[in-house]
Amino acid sequence: MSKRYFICKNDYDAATSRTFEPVGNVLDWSCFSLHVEDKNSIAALPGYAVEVTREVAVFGLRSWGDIRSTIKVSASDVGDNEEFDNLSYADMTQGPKVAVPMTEKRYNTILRAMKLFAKIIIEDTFNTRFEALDDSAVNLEKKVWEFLKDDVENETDFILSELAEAKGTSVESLKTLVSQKKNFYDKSVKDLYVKASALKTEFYNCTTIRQLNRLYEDYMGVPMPLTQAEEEGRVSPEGLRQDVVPGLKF
Amino acid sequence: MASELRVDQLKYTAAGSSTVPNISLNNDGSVTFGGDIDIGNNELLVNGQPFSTLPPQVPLGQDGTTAGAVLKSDGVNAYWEIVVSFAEGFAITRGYPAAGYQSSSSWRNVNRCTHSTFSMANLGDLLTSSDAYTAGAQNSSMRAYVFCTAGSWNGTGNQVSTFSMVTETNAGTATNMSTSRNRTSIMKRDFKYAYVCGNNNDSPDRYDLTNDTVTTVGGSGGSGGDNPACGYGEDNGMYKQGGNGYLFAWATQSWSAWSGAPGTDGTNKTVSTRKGFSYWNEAGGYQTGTAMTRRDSATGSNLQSVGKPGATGEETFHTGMDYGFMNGMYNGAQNNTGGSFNYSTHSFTFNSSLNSTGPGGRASAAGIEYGTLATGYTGV
Repeated sequence: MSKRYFICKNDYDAATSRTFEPVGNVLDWSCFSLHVEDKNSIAALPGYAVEVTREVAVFGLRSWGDIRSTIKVSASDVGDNEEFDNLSYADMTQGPKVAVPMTEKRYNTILRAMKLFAKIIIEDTFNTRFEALDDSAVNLEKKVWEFLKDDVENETDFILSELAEAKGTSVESLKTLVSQKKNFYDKSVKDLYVKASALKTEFYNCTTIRQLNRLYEDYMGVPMPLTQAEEEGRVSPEGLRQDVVPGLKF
Repeated sequence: MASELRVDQLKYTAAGSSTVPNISLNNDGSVTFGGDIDIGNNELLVNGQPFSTLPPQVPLGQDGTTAGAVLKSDGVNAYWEIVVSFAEGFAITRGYPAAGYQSSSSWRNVNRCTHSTFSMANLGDLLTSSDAYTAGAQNSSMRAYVFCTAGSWNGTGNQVSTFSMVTETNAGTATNMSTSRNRTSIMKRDFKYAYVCGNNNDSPDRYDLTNDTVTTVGGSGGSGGDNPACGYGEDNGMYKQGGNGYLFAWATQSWSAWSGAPGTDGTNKTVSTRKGFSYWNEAGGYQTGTAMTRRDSATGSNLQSVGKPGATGEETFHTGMDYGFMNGMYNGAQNNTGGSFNYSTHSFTFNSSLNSTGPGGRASAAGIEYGTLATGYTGV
């Protein structure tokens, strides 16, 4: 039975679906498959769920961050890997885990998977921050804010005078306050978007898994492979690995 | 023959004949003495032995209840020895998946799994050294030990990295193991010993959790294999690697053949519970979708089949009171996938809220439990 592959946040428990099969997980996000015929489960996925190709899910995510020239795959998956790489692994040493080469195709698929996850995580994080800009205002205040902006921008007086009187201030002072708050809000939104775009571009421009590993460790607290950490001076001469601090750092 | 208290036989002595005795014979047949009962040398004797009252008793349901306790004496004073069962001795509320690996990288990272909310938190690099294919235990002060942390994937080492589950901070290293090992598993004797098994030596190292000392104990002749799966119960440990299955009696530290042992080769792991049973994989090869079995922890006998929600292996398991937890595994790749065992329905399900986080995958990590020891419980 064929499958479809999705990425969702962990707080959506797709595991309740009868055809759920986990593939992998990065931070608060999981990649999993559902059977094509499991239409109820697919329909129940949240609107933000991202569908990905089988290649990205299986061959990209499963080798997340891997910088080795030879990787290991499960013996039960050798056929799939042969098909993916278009190579024969019949001569490879057999055992529960089989060593196969890191092909250029696989390498590029890993890059795509890592970039896709970065995009999803960054966009979700900045969207949450954007929504937080309005968190302190109740719905009535949000509606009145729209009236105030309209009055200031269109030089009308639907609410300005009445509210100024109610607050015991002048119309001009209230207009100034509305303008200041609007400018601050607009600047905050702009800053969020520019920062998110810059960060996504930084990930997008990476051409190697090593570069992506570095960004993931520095920005998101996902540790890079130990070998790379040693190469990049993140392990002391005494063998002590530099701490990887949890959490997002952007 | 029933005794009678005859007033005409009560005699005045020191008080003199003019003193009125302050003794009441009540309508309900009881006798009330208005003063001390002074018998002989100020001792009340029963069958010729001094009588003393019992130590205070506390009813069932109250803190420190003496219900079911055993009355003992230290030679001078009597006291209640509170007998707490293995099942109730340790109230587990959290678990800590620690170390583990993805691809060829091992981690120092630790997560917290909160059992009441089925939620995870990334605590960062709390271990001094990383390790893959590893195991851990805790002492009564809730210090967590991860054994043979080699600082690399597939490395052999004898360092013991520790962290405090109270403060959730690095607690340095503890006494080194006697034997350097790779790919370990442990049989955990509650708050007394961790019997660390794994390749390079048939004889497990017995790590004393009360004083951090290490002693090597005799092996079975088949207990030195690579990457075993171990379990434990109240009276014994359980061991399976390749075709070798054993039960290990705590009291005698002796091995016996495990007839009808589960099918895991050791790479696919075990959930031990405090309820007298444990869940074992029935196939090897680092991952399997084959149904697990629930085993009687004392006898190893097969109690029932327990279906798996999908292929798993190299699981990062730990136990709770009513649920067992998985926080990472291998299913063709090392990943963080979470899941739980329901100890009432004996079902195993995936659960995304139990996904480990931080590193990109966490297979074959240590799983260590935090909780409160019942009053009087010191282990088994």
